[in-house]
Amino acid sequence: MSSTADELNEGEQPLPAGREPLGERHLPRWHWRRLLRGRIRPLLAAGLAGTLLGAGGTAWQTQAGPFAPDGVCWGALSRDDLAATFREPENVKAVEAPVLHSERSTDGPSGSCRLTNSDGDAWALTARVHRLDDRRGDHRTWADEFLSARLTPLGGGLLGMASDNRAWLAVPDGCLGRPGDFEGPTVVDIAQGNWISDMEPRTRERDGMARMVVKLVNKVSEDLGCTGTIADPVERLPEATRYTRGEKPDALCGIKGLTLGEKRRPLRAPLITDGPGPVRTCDRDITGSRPKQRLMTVEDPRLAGIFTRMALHEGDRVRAAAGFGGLGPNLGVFQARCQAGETVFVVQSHESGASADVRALFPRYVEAEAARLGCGPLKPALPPPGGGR
Amino acid sequence: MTEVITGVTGMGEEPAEPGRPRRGLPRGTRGRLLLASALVLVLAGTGLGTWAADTWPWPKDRYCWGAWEEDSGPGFLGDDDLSRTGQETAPTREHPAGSCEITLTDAYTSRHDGDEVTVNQTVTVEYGPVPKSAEARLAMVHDGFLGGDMVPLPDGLPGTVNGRGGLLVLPESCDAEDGRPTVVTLRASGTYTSGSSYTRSDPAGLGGARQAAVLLVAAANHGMAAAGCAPDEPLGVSSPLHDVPGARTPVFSASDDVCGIRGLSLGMEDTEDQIGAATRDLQTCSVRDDSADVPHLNLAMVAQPRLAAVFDDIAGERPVARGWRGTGSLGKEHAIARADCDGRPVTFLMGVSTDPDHLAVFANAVATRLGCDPIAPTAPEGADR
Repeated sequence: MSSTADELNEGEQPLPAGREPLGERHLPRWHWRRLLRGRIRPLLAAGLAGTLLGAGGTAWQTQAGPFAPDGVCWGALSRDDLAATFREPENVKAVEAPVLHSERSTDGPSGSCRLTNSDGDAWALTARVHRLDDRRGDHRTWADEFLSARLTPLGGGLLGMASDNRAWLAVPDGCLGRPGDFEGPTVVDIAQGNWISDMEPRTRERDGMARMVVKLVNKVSEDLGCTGTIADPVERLPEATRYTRGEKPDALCGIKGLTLGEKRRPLRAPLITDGPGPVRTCDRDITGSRPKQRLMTVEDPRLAGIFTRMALHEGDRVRAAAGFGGLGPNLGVFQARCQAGETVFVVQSHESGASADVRALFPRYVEAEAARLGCGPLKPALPPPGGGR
Repeated sequence: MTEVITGVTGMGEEPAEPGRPRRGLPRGTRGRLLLASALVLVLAGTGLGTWAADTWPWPKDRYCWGAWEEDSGPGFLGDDDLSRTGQETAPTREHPAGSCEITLTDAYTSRHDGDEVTVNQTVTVEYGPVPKSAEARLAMVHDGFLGGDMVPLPDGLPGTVNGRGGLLVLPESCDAEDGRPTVVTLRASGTYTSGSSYTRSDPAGLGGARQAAVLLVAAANHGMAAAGCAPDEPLGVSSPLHDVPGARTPVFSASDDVCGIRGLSLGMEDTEDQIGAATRDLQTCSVRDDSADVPHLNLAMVAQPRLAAVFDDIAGERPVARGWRGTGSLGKEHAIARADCDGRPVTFLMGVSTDPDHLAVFANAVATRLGCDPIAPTAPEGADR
């Protein structure tokens, strides 16, 4: 190595300062330049280089400092990913709560992330990680928003859906295990603005939401220590949901024999979930912020758990050869074990004074949908009006 | 490793003369000292690096035709408490069948009660065409890998998997000369014995169902390469596992339905059923005794083309019975029916029970779910079912 230079230097050390380089000669004894003279210099330089390399390496390894990915929402979304949703992706600000998960906790992982553009909160987007369950009683609102017919199933075996302002996707079973009887899956959901309008969802924005929710789930799964990456789902997605025009009065929601009588025509055509998915939802007569009626079949047994308590406790008891359920003034819900597992049938009205409609539609809806799923014959017997459970 | 350590200390000892000023060392010694410390630094640095990055440069043992590397993930490849031996026969072009087996053993005296404990685990991979005879083939594929505890492989690969094993159907380029598909299977088993009386099942840990899929696909790729039938792109697993099998669900009374199908009941007490998959490509459901692990009924529907090809030549030429669509046969322990459904051939399998009524109810219910005509003749109008 540079042994000759070193040895020369060493040889010089005991000599008087006369041979010191010009400029250092008259320095005070404790001046830094005087202290850094001689063989200590290369050592210090090497030490510094080593420290820098080490620190750099550590930073690179742990993705800290200058190597930190320029991602928001737990590092899952790059600025490019935001471009589909925000007009000025580089100005989007994020407020994040990290995804926390304790092995001992029964609540599942949870965290949230809120993105806002500089031009106001109207386009704020909120991403959440949470486990669906009905203990907190928030599943009804969640189902209203995220199981709406506006959302397209993501397909490809994914338990998730997307519209132009809502999307959700479950963390894969292979990561956190399969939810229990009264639980739902842990999902990542994203929401932007009002959840419903009577406009048909826009396909381009829907695709953006679908991509975003997949990226979030991939990152959250990775952080939970799980392997595997979900591919971009957009290629296989159909166009966003369109109103089903030409609903026949004797085949409401496209289900033969389901009728409320010839004379009543809804103002608007129904919106029906497009394609096979975790749910088939038919939202009828969407005016303003809500459909007047929702007829929904929850086909994925992993989602059924969030309706089980409802099926056990809602309204008056409904009986059938298999399964259980209840009928209240605005809501009929029935759960049975079908080929895929637990399956839930829901008929819901958001109008007042519509209990006769719910009562008329509910048993026929359950029967028809059970038949479609190869889960029939299933003929729920309704309690007499006003009867107890 | 030991060599390195002695080498380093040996060099370090040589110039150690405490109390002697370093400057006074003769030139040769000083050079050596420098060289030695540099070497120590370099070695320590590399050692630290390899330790941190877990890339020790010495070769590791490989198993199953080179597919799996020691310490590469799942417990059975890295658990040093157990002694590990491997035995394998690689498939060749001339003889495209092979197997490999990793055995893990351990024996110790229990600190708890002083009993002699022995652990004996195996992980087995088999490569080869499916058996010729229908019964042997159904026993291997249906009983072994299409139960209610199996789910489809990720990424659309034709096969099934769970935490204890899996099956993968290889591409057509690996078919036997008579057209039988070649399959690769993976299976973990094992026992834990304590004293003279206590034995329980204790299969080798594959590291979960997804890791099992990765192991299976790696073995398949190496097996295909050895047999000379590998596709241009090796098979791969990239997606996570979206589904795992449903829980075992008690069937409360003897007359209750099983597998979520109305009218399908075994009339037996103390049973439970388990639904693995229920997609358009694959459906699996098993019914078994809830205490002893005895199967009562295994049902499966296979429509995934490559997986269904396994049953191509054993569905017979004639209908299962009068009035049935398609072809099929009722064997001693297995039944098979195949019919066109929604534009593609669908295979219905039944194991353990051979009651044709069970197969009829199952096939018709699945056909309804898939949106096609009944397979078996339906009960006449008015008959109570």
